[in-house]
Amino acid sequence: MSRAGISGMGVISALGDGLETTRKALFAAEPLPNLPRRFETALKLPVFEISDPAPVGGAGLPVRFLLHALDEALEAAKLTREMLRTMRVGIAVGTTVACQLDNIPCHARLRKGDLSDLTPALAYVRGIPAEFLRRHLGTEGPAITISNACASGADALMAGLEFLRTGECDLVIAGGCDSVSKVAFNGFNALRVCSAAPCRPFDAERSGLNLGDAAGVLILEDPEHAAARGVTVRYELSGAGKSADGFHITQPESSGKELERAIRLSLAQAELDPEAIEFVNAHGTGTLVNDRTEGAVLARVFGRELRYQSTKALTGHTLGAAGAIEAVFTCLMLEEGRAAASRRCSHPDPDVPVPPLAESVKIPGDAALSTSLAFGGSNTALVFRRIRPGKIETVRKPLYIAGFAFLPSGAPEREELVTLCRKYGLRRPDRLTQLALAAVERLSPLPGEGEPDTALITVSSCGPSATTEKVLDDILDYPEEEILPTGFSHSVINAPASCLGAAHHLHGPTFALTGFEDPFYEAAGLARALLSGGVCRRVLIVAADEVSLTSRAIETLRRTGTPAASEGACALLLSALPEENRLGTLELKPEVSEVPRLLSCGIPESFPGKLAAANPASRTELSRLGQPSWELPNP
Amino acid sequence: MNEDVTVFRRELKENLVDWLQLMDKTADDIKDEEPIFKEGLGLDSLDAVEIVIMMQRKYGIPQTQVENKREIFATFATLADFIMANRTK
Repeated sequence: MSRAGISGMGVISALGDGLETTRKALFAAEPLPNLPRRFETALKLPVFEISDPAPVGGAGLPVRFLLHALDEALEAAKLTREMLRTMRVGIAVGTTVACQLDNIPCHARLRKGDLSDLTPALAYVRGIPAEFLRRHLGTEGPAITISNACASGADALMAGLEFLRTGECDLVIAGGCDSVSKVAFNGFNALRVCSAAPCRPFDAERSGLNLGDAAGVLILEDPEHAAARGVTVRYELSGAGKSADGFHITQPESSGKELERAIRLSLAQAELDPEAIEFVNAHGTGTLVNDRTEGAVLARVFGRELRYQSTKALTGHTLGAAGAIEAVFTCLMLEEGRAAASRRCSHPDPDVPVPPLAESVKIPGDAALSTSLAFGGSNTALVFRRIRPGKIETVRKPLYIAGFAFLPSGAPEREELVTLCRKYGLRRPDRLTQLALAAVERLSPLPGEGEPDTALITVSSCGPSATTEKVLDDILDYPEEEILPTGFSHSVINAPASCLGAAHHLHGPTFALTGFEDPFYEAAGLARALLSGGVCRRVLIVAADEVSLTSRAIETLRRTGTPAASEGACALLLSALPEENRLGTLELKPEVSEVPRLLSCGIPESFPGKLAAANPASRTELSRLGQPSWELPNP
Repeated sequence: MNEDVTVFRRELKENLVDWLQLMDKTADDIKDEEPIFKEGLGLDSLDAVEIVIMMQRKYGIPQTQVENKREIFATFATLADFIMANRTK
């Protein structure tokens, strides 16, 4: 069992390229955003773009930023690829843009039926960041790409912490990456949260956020593991807390009670009182709602002595990278013994109980907190502190299957969907959410519903791709106009997770995973870490994929002999305690091979959601792990 | 109510269901004198943005003509009457 010591970091953002530049700039520089350079737009909204790094073997822009930060982190940690191949290495990356089908010219061709150039679709399949890194580095451990909107980078770090605490991995490469894309740019504008001026987090005159490019990487490992290579670890990720509002697809719940719970959970795991936290690196996007809610919660937890800043005035909102780069900033401030000022907050909002830091201050202690808040009310808090001697003892516990269901072919029919929407107060769920919702309904009544310790992991290869294509249609057909805001909010990978959370009042940690190389298997591995580590009592995994022009195009890229793309969903409920259910009490042994065994026998060959859960590559991998030791009845 | 108004209101109700992909509603569920937002049809602020965009696209009503005029959205009937009176296509 390992602590999550930080043996290396790497970062690139508008604040600077590399740790040393960033360290100085945090206290001195004040970069300003400019109008986008990479794409044509009629919108006059500034963004924090940075120069494109050198091309690397087919990687898209966010992954190139990630590789750039990775090189720096590996060098700091004195790690080579050869060394990594001898370790059990986990990879967890947060992103939004790198896993959204946002290639507008490609979509323009696909919608005309032109399949002559599928290079962008192939680049998308190969460019899912964590899987890209695993191939790039030649490692074999878990590789999860988390797309939890604006909390993705922080969530990747939390996943890394749990992989280490529960002994799943010897070392975790965790981070986040994103770049300013035309789709996100138009989407955030449609949601009316972009500022036409440089953003002013926590200022009374704030008018929204600026988007930005960035990537950040942290190498997490036990200090003793790093010491074996002569690397001294000085700081650790010592606690993570995560909760879901379970309230709305984009809006945060106004009291912030779930954010408060996430912060208190992170402090409890780090075994620290609020007084031990020297400063908070807040999410602070500069939007009206975020800053007011977050400011109130921080004051509730930390009182009048609260010291905090938002660094987004310096980098913009870098979405899936934000949690990772802000983790780096937090550690750099701890190393410097100084908390940076919150910039461009010249008139602090009187509705925020405690104003952010107006000047940088010396800090005597050695612990700090970083918060990340996302679309759909997904809240993450991370505690960083100077490393302490000692070991963590975590007992790996058995897991139990509390339920399994999949959608039969042709389901759900419209009548069922109308019933579900009425039952759960959902007015217009996108197709992927409909599929996920109907699969979960087959576990009804859902054990753990409404409880704070039920986690949710959604898995999809293409995400709400048909919904995303409608957004692309909008951009192509109405280039001079705003796009439809709900189209964008339903097109993000974690849209089904937000809707499921709201429908079933799930307030535990929520992760939206994406990928093409056994993402369901990766989800089960993450679920096991969350359950073994005591983060939650139950984990609901929901895999779903829908048919779209792009998913059809991707199918044509696969080798022959595979059936045509089709839609489908399945739901698997895992529990830390034995639960009697219609399958009997099934124990999932804590050996890795048991999870794929479950999946290989649980998902029938005809399972329609093969893009996400049962693609041919998965099946080959699964068959290598042996025959299932028992069979699940087909519901 | 003259026939044009009746026909247009029917068309707009069907459009609203379609534009906003109202899963659990049909045109018949939208009542003329019912509020559109909150307690009525249950629409929210993003739906309002969406209706404004669609009014521009389908009926040629510039967004600037609609912005900050809450009275237009008081009920379905006020919205329908406004569009009928101001449409350019």
